[in-house]
Amino acid sequence: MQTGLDIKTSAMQPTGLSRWLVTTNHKEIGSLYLIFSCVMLFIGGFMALVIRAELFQPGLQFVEPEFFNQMTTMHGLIMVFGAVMPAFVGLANWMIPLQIGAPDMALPRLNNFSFWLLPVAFGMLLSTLFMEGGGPNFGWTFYAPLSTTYAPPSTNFFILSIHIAGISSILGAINIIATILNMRTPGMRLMDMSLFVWTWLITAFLLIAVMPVLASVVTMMLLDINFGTSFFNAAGGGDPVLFQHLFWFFGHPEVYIMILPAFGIVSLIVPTFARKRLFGYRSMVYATASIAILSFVVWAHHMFTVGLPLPAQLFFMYATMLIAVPTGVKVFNWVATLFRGSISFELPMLFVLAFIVQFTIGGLSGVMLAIVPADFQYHDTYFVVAHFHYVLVPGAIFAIIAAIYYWLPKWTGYYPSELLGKWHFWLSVIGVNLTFFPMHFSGLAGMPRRIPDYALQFADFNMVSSVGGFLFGISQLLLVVVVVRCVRGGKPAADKAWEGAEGLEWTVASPAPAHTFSTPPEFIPERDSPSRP
Amino acid sequence: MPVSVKQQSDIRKTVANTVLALAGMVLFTIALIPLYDVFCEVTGLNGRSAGLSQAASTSKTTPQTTSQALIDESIRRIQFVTQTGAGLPVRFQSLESRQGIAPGGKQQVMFRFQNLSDKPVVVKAVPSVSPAQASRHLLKIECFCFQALTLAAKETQDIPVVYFLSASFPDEISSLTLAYNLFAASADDLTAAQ
Repeated sequence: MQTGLDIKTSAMQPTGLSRWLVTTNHKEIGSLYLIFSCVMLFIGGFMALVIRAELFQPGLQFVEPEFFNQMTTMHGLIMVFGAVMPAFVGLANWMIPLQIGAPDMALPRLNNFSFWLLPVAFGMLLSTLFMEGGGPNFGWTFYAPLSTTYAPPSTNFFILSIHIAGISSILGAINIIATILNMRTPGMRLMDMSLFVWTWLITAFLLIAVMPVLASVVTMMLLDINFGTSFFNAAGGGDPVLFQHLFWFFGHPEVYIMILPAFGIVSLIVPTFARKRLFGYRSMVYATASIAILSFVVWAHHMFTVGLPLPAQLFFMYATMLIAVPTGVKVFNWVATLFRGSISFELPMLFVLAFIVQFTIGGLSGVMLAIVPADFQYHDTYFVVAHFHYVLVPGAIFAIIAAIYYWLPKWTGYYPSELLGKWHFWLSVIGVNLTFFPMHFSGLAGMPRRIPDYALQFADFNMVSSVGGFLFGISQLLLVVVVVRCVRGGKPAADKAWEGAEGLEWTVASPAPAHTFSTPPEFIPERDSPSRP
Repeated sequence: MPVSVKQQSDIRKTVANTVLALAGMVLFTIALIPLYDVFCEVTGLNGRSAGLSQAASTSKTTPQTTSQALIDESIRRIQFVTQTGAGLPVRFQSLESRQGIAPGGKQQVMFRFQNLSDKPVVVKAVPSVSPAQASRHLLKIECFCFQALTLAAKETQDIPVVYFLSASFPDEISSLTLAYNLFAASADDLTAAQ
């Protein structure tokens, strides 16, 4: 062991199923993550369509209210923990070693373990739907006492699956931090890293900070349910409001865990297709760090209506509004990068431009929700639903799709089909706005969320939302078609697949061979690096 | 895939540090539970005022709540709300739904407990004051919420609460609510299983 690890990578190459089961290759694990999150996207999306079908008309049509509650809960849990987070981890696995010039992740076996925890966690979570009493029905925020005193018996399985998914996230975060901090190619300083690597480094620190809080909260629920403790039970001296404080102390940074890597992706794709250096690299890094730090002091804006004292309401209102400043810095930097650029509209760029516009819409409704007196009106209405879907669907998910189209030539060696991709793009944009824009209006008019029935005056808006929901859901099948066709063949891609692209990943062959950067590459500061003269 | 010894020990160090940070966050979350209670008691947040009830039992001038004083702007309206935990066979209500009280004043209000079952029950009332800013200024001198209460089978008890409003009561609060939630002190008293 004097010379360190020397794994014989070429000698042992299991085939078939066991190849995927025991793989320690960051590219294969990255693909597994992405495939897993795609499966989860369609399962969670199917649940969303059950919800939209039920809400197509007022009255109860297709499902019982109890099952409707399980659908809203499971849709949220699966999309947050099963689709968006694993997709970003998959992209990190694929691209971070390629972007920093490392041969693999720092802890390849741990990497394999953290992926295979996920199918276990979500298999268990989905199995609760078939148990007596049904699956979790208390909303993805699982507020006590709904999730303790009044919870279905399957809640113990829910808690266990959250634990397993949390461990997977923590191990993934440790791996990413260890990789970025120790395995950069000689000469690459932190301030030379691509913004995708930077945003993931900060995201990984957020995960390390808040996943233990989530684990502690669900453990307290477990104790309350099974061992007679009273953490969240007022009768025994506990406090249900404490649950909300703890949950959102995890939950708000979690929101940024789902969007910071998206910021990184956008910061790569905009300069590529504007053929310009990224405007304000340093301010991007500092803005990301500021958002991460601020995310720890705004949690109570999710609970303005629990009866916070006025000074606390004011503090959380102003702190929340303050987040708009670094976020605005980012948006303005992207716009400034586009300004007078030689812009072309390839698939990744289309999705990124849609991201910038629609994420800003979601951010704006977020500032509206931050205003305490307004929030009393908006709280628990469809306005909130519109807000967080705007930042998550045309925000996080569009960024993930853009990243997939951006790096597909590197992964497969072929370009994705422009024609089908453009169909996918336009149907997605129309579908997503038809679905979520009317929710602003139904929410402002007072339609409560998480209810299977509604008053007649909301009927038109809901019908539009449902039509848009089905359009958006079905058009995502095009993504699968484009990716599968791209894996099989198409227009061959050069090593540097996009004319304006920068970064070490474009110096390796397309498709990327199984093992890259076995010897650290020579590092020349990239166009976007501040150290480039 | 050669990884140098130096790099390996660096990775090991980073992992050790992140695991340490993880353990720190777990401890922090566990510490938050008692800290939350202390914080609420000290600041009166969340309507908790139990810890302050013994303070300032020496009254200053007690203005008379005469009919003249009732139209005085300094009179605050205090409402009483009672709630009985699910499955508890007790009827619990205040005999007056609201009272007027001036800052610095002392008042008494009666609450009625009726055990509807054939068995003795032990109950505990948990008070809460809203708005939260008022909770530090509502001082209970005598309250059944200080300890558990035993009700014999079919027994009815009227028990007073004696409370003060501190002289430094905030001007901007014109009315406040004192709510009691009644819970079974031991799980055996619940009849939900019947």
